[in-house]
Amino acid sequence: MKFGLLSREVLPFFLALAVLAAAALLVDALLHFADAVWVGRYLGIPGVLLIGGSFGYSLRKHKLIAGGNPAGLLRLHERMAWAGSLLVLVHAGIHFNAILAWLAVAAMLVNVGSGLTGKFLLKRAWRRLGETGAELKRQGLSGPALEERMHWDTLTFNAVKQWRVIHFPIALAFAVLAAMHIVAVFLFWGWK
Amino acid sequence: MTRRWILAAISAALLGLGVLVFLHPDRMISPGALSQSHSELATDCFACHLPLHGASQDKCIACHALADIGLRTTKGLPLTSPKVAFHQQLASHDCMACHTGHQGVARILGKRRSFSHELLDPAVRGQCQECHAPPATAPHRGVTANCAQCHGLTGWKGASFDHGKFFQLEGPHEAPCATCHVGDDTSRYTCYECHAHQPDRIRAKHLREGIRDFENCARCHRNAHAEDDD
Repeated sequence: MKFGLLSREVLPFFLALAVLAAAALLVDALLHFADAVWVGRYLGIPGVLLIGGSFGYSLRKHKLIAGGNPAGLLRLHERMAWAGSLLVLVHAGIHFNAILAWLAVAAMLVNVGSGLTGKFLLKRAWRRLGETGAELKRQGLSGPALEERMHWDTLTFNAVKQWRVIHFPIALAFAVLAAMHIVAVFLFWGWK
Repeated sequence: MTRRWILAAISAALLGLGVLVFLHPDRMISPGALSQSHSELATDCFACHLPLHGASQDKCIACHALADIGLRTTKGLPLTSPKVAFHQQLASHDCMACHTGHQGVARILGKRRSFSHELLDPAVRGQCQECHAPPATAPHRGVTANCAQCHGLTGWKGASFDHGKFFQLEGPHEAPCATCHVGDDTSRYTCYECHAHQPDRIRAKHLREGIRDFENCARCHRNAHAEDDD
């Protein structure tokens, strides 16, 4: 059982983070190998566009847009945010100089960690709730008796869902820091 | 309620960071420290940058007068050890093509253009002595022009002088320079003082052939074998 939990929840979580770090290192190494380190300077642009695009799911979730299947948008949100984070990490790996840019990257990484935590924690809580309900039903419980027995599990699941309370402000902090960095770049960089 | 507090705390932190950006732009947004000579401009970004256009060469030149670069300080005082003043002769004046103020940018870009003679205005590219004083070494004594005869535009070292264009050094003529260039003065040479080239013998032989101008031997004799090459 413990091994199951490890392989189903913990390992995928750390693996997702490790793959992101390894991919960033690999792309950075390839750029160095190809003597094209300067490319990293511009990878921040597609990275931010991907991350920005991934917010389509958040807009759908908050009913700011109507179209799109939430489940599909969630998959897209995860993939686009992961790919965008990868590009931003490579971009950041090229030059760490200003504190603001450091903070934006740190906020992005916290955001990725938070996203992955939510992904695996919610998944686990939802499955646990389902398994408990099915077991109780097998035991012949239904209606108010079932609800009473599942009261604490339901409360726990609702508490886990509150994770979004944390994820959203972290995402907001990242968005603001990234925006400040982008404004500073536009203000001072010579695009030629 | 919790969400509201978290949002308030994050908003306050972001506001504080925003204030820090204005108070300490050198640490918050600057891509690395400035060079020592520009350190006093560290918090005055717009001393060098134009909004939305990056560092401006007009702003560079406002302090670094083109005519003074390599010769005088930005305050007009003569440099204690003047450098080669070539900036005045550049074909185009794009400061940022070669220079960067921030150390971080230098690390990213790495291969900024370093000086190349190709950057000079073609009209002055061959006028070496405009920037370079002739070396006081023996092979250069008396040389006044046409440096490209031996030197390329990529570096002083790697000079190649084809002595064979003037006289082929082979056999007994493969001798130390001072044998012909007395006192290592390469602006002059003599074929005399050698047992085979006695002045009286040479004079008599040439006059017998009706040749009266025979002091510049290498004008006709480009090697030890030919009697008459030109």
